[in-house]
Amino acid sequence: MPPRITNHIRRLRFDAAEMTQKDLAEAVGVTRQTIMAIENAKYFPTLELAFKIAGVFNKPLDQVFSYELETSKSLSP
Amino acid sequence: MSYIELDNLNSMDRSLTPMSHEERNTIVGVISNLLVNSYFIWRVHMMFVDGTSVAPDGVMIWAREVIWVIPGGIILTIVMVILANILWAIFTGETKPSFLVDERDRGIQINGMATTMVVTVLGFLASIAALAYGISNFIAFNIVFFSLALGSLSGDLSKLWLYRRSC
Repeated sequence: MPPRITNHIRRLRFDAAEMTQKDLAEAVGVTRQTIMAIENAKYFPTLELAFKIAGVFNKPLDQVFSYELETSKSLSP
Repeated sequence: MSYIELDNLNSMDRSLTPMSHEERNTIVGVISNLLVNSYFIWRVHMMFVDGTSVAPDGVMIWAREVIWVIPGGIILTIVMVILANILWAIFTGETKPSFLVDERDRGIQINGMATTMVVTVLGFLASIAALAYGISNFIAFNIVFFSLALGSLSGDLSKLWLYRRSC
């Protein structure tokens, strides 16, 4: 079953001057392993960390993370 | 640079630091636990061989041994953690090693503690049941001690499993 919470961090990092996982981790105050786990949808961050990540990319939360409802409709645009 | 090239860059970086500070400490904790408890199993075995286990003061001698083993284990773990961090810095060439503990580490720690608690409580209940069926105090105290040790070990192993699963 695919993860219901997905994210676009990898693309956003790429768009943000090829930011590395380490740079993002340092910007939000977590380990690089945590960023790696979030990107791979193996770990789902707290709301606070999710907002911090979105803040780094200067994007609203729903442009970084999206949640798939059981009806397969995404909450993000 | 393409996505793939960026991923390759991250993969190269990952090979240098494949685990966080907390995960390394957990591995060191497992090794330390195995060393200390292997020593203590040998000591308890010797107590059975030389008859201390059935002597009137057997539990007292056992307790004196435990009084040394617990702080000894703590000191061994601290020394091993320091050595592991020094060796890690040398082998990976990290000039600024991170000692950061983040929300994922804390979540995994909570899960590890839950595992430790379940195993320890089961061990304690087993010792009570064993006493109820007439087992000696010496053996009952050993069941309690080793359930604590096994609880700690299983908590650390569950943490490692969670770390590896979420990479």
